[in-house]
Amino acid sequence: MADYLILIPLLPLVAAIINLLLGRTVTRGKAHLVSVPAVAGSWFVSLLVLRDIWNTEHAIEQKLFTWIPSGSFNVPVNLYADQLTAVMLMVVTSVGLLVHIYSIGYMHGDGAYYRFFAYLPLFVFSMLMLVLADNYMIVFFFWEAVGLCSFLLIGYYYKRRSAGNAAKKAFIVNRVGDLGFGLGVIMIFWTFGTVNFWGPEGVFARVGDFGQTTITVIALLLFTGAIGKSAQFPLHVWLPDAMEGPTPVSALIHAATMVTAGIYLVARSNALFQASTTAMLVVTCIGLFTAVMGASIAITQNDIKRIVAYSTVSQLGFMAFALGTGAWMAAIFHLMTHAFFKGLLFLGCGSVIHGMHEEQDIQKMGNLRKYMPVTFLTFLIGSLANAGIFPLAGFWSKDEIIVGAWISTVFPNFGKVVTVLAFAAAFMTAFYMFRLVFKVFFGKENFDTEHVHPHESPKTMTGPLVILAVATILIGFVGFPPEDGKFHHFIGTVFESHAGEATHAMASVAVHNDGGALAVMAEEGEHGGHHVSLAMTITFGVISSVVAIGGIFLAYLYYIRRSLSAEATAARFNGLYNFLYNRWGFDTLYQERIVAPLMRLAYFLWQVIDVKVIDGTVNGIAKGTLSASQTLRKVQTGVVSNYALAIALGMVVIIGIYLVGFSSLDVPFLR
Amino acid sequence: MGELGVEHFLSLSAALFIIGMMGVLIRRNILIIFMCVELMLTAANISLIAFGWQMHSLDGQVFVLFTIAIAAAEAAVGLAIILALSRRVHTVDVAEIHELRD
Amino acid sequence: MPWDLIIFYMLAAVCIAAALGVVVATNPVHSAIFLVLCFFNVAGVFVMMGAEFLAVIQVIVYTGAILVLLLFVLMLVNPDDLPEFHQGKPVQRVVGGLLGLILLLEIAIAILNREVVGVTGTATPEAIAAVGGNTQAIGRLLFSDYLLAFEVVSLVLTVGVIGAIVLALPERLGEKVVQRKGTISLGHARGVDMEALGEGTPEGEAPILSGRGGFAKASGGRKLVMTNDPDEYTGA
Repeated sequence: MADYLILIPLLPLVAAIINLLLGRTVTRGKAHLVSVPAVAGSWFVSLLVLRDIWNTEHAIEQKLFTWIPSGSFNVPVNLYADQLTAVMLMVVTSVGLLVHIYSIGYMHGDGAYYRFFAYLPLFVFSMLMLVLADNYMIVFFFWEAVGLCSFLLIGYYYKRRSAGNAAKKAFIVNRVGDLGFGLGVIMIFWTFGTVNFWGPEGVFARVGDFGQTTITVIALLLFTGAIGKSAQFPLHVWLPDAMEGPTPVSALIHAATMVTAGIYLVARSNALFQASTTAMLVVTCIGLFTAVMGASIAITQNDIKRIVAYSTVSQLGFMAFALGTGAWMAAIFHLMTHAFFKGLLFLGCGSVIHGMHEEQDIQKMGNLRKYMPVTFLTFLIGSLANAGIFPLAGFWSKDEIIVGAWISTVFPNFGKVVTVLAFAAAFMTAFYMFRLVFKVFFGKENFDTEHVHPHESPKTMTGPLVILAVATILIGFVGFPPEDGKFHHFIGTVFESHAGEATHAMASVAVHNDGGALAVMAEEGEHGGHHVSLAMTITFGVISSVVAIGGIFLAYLYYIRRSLSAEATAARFNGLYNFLYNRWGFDTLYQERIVAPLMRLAYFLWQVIDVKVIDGTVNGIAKGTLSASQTLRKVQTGVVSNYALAIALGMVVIIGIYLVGFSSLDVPFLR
Repeated sequence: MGELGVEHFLSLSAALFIIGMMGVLIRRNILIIFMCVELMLTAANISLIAFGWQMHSLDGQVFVLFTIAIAAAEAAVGLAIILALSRRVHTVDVAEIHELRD
Repeated sequence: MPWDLIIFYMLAAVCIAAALGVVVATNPVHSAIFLVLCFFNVAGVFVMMGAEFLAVIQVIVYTGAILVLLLFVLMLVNPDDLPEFHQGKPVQRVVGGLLGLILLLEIAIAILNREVVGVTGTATPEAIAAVGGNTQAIGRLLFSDYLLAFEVVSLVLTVGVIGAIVLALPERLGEKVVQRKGTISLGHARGVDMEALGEGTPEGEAPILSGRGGFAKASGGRKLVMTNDPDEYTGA
């Protein structure tokens, strides 16, 4: 019954293979006719999976084959879909499908059209396998595979130097995180003797059997991978640069799906994280810092895609600290809504850039709502959602995250601080989103009206925008009422089933240590967790709405009414402005402290070690051999007499040796 | 040494062989070298027959028959080579024939 | 002193003297004559050892066939090609003589200390006389125990004869044979362009990648096309 699970990743893979092998000759400009139906089929099957899991409330499994059968190290390739996977499947295939359709228009006429439509399904395949995998090894494998696809797609315009550099940056920065993840997988195998998630021998069932330090180390190593992939501080620097890729790629990979792989990984490993308060604290701090930092940088940037990219960094930070504070469902809920509204925003950006003839600087735009009304409306919806305005998707999920932090059972006191800072980040979010909207779609036309004629994008591009806008409006209601919606009932089992065991483990540790708060908390966890009162929900809803509207109003004052001058403010807080404008100096810092010394080291290794030592050795050996043979070749005179002499000499010597050594000869003078 | 024994024949054989070998080593005319090789073969033949004579075996003589046959074939081919050599490089001096060196 | 010993010493003395004559004679014809003398004496020694058949073979094959062939070749080779006798390097001569002396010493030691090992055969003079003599005895052995070897030797002789003919054949015949095979067309419509090969090709050498000068010149100038047949090539 469950054998159709394989179809989900298989269809995009087949499409990718077809376009890679035949793209140059057969499919060419019609490559989308292969890829789009494949992803559509994959989406449809995902829908069936979702329905089945929804009805049966049981995970679906499909065993394929054993990849590495090596002694005690067994890596089976099995597909496993539970509620969390189903949600991820829906997110990946839905956004993937819409981005594919959008790309038909956006990439139209590109020279390497087929290449784009080969990489994109390949990414979809890898991402689907990542969420379907049932052990850490396969997750790691496809974790790298999505990284590869990301690299290929960021560097899609490989003839542009900046695109090549951005691709390399993304790849290398991700390597740093992946190293941690890889070590984590090794550590898991070392500790548990298996890398499988499920079953009585699986990792999650036996978390309680091991010490908290071990679990903390494993969890932190896994989170290192998540930091790289989900662009958390301090490895966030690659994501804004990754906007060098085509805009649909930014929407699919760098907003909706791949960057959420880190969040998915932590959510999937919630059993491990719940067993370690330290790990949770680290996740919270890094997530919170990223959220605030990303939002603050986004305020000062001028590149339309960069603003949205930093917004993504910030929103990923929201998800991360939601995970850290134990608001698992809220994090996944936000992941889902964010995928839709951020995908919408990116595709909107693409539409604007497309209509403005590849212009990305928002200071050279303005009043575009006159020229591209559909893009404007959908972008506005996306912005409102991102800002967290009732009743759009972002409102429900972000609100839930903030409430989750406030009532966090993991950090009852620290959670309050988190909440306050989260409100600050939310305020900034609203401000920068509407700074963007006002500068691009309102005001006067700051571009050369003589030469630039903005135009609305074709139907294949606006279609997905409208669909995503509708989804953005509606998707939030699956989580209604807050904390108790259909979504929560559906996905809750994933986290609750382990929460009990994990808190057990933690409680036992806590009893050993100092009892107290942790034990109380564990008690609470065992009794079905927390429930939020209606009053609190409404209170926080109102507060976050006020914060969001405040941000929008401030943007309105600055950029529409102009009662406040952005320039004056920037001049007054010059230091702060430059600090934010230079992205907190991280890029410069990394460039100076890490990249430049490494470059010098690489140059040294190249010029001295490689050229002089290694090449010198190799060439020296060759030269030595040559000169030695030049000397030795004189032995071969080519004169027959000399060879005859050698033969005679050999014969004499051999006979002599035989006589002296091996015969019963009685030689008087040799005795 | 009162009686004719095998050591007489062996000494003769040794003497002929060594003379032949020295000829091969010393002379440069390829024809003379060729003759010296024949001399060495004959020396070997004497040894074979001598041992057979001592051991009352005819196998030695059969071997010598084969040796002579092979020597005949070798002579034919070797002399043909000398002829071709003389025509091609205009010398039969082994010291001047060193095509293999280059 | 028994007669047989006296005869042996006479034969051996002449034999060794003749052998030395072969090595030291300045004229190759003299060497050949000395060799004939030597082989006659060796045949005498064979007779002393009861190998009458081989003695005759020795005279017929060596003296009659090989030596005559050798003399023929000696006549065919241009006298200018023969090296002077005293051109040899002194080092070579000294080393050669030294090696000969050492070998003589070694063999003398070996002969003086030798012991007979092995089983005595059945071919006593009486047994040989019983089958009718030495020739009959060898014939029986040759066509029974050594039949395969005998046939193989006949094959070797055949090959030797063919080889001798091929080697001694005038090379102009060979040239034609080679040219009909693979050849490099140098852009000439009919195949090999001898002028393009230049003067570097010695007469009679096949123009397949052989003449160094010719090849270099060809690759520098004209297009090089490999064909199996000159007619296959239809112009540049």
